[in-house]
Amino acid sequence: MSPDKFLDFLFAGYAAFWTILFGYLGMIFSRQRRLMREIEDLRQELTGRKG
Amino acid sequence: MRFLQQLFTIFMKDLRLEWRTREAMSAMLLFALLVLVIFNFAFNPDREMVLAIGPGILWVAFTFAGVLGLNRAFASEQENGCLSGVLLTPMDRGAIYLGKWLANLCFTLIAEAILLPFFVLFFNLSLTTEIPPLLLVCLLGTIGFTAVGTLLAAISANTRLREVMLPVLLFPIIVPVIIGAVQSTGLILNHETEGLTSFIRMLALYDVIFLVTSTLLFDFVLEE
Amino acid sequence: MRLERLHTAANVATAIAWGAIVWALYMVFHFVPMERTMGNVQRIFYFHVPSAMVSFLAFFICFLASLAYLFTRRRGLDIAAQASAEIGVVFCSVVLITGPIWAKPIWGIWWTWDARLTTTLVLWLIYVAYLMLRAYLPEGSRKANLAAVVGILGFLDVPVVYMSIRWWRTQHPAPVIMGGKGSGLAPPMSQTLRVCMIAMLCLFIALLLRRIVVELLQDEVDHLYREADVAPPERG
Repeated sequence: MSPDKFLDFLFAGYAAFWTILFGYLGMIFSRQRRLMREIEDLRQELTGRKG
Repeated sequence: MRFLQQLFTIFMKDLRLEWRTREAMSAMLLFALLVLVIFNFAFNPDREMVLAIGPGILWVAFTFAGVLGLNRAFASEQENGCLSGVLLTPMDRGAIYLGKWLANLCFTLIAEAILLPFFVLFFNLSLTTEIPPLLLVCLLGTIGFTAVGTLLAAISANTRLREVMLPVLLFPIIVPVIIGAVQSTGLILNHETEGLTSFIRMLALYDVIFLVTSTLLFDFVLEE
Repeated sequence: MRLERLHTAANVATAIAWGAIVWALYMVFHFVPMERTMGNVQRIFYFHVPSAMVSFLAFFICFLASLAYLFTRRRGLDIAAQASAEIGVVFCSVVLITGPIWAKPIWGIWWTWDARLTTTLVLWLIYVAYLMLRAYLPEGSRKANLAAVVGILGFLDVPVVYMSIRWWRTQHPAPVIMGGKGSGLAPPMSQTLRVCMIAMLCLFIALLLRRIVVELLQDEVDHLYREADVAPPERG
């Protein structure tokens, strides 16, 4: 059997790893951005009300 | 002594409640019967196949019916605010858990006892000496999945979609029970004794582990 | 402020994790020689096995945090349990997907119901159910309690599941494909494996910190909504 016979499987394996990792990272970071924006808005709203 | 009394009070309360409506029992029985019938259509088994897949069919019927009963156990408490009433009484939480578990065990065992003859009838089995070990396996398996099931039913009763939540939580956790019960039922039906005791011992071990931990953890489930 | 310090820690950990992953990739694709019988596809192993270990570690941390939560009732522990379970599920998914991709060329089959594979699958199911429960429980102090109970129960189940499947499988003739697992690794291979484990551990820590930061931000948002006396929008 040639050593490079299953290179597509090797590729698929690592592609799966990166897809899952970046999918999860994307989820976390988009949520973080949304929350930070929300905090910013709410803080402004609160200080605006006091002033 | 007081602990046992409290346990018995809860147990009798659930029994009386069920006796008035017979809601859970009739639903469980009919559902399990349907499972047997549907699987018969799905596999159309001959004599040899019955010995191979029969145990699996039987335990699918038992556990699915069991989940129906378990779902009812806390749904009714939740709907009428009964649970808060029970919690107001100075009762030991462990006793509440064990009482409810015993009631669930009781319903499920009754359903199984009615179902077992149908299983024998539908699949043309003839049981004689197999009956005592088979009953033991049914008892141990049912203790196992109702022990975890009662705790998880109390948890999933708090969620939206509780009817779905209970089986989703329960089935992965009772994998050992399903393996043990199906395997030992299969060995019994095939008149094999090798390995049977190890499976029965495994079921017993599971029962002990999860009865104890569930009793301990139930305290936290009821806490406000 | 605690949140800001955690934020910095998460950033630092992320940078370290990227460095470690680059190192691991170098080891896997350049340093380590090709495995003779399996060929290049064996290189999946170096990410597959550390992912499995990290996912077990994550579930173990979830168990410990749940247990500690029930005794101390600290919100931080509840967050740690949730974050750890979630990342454990991510790594467990990696294991369950890369496993069959590796098994197919080597064993000739995608899947076999042996003890290790089946236990991993059951573990994944348990913790997905745990996360689903968290998503469906109404907000409040009881939520953390109920989730912690499932976190403990689920983890206690793992050794029992493993043992039961072992017993079940020894009843039948074991698949021959599983031979030679404990045959030991050549030094460069074990070296590479160790580097990959370190990289995965760094990645896990980075993700865990990041996830905790996000949950704390969520707490802050909820707090601000309450302060502003505005009903928060439905969480999607």
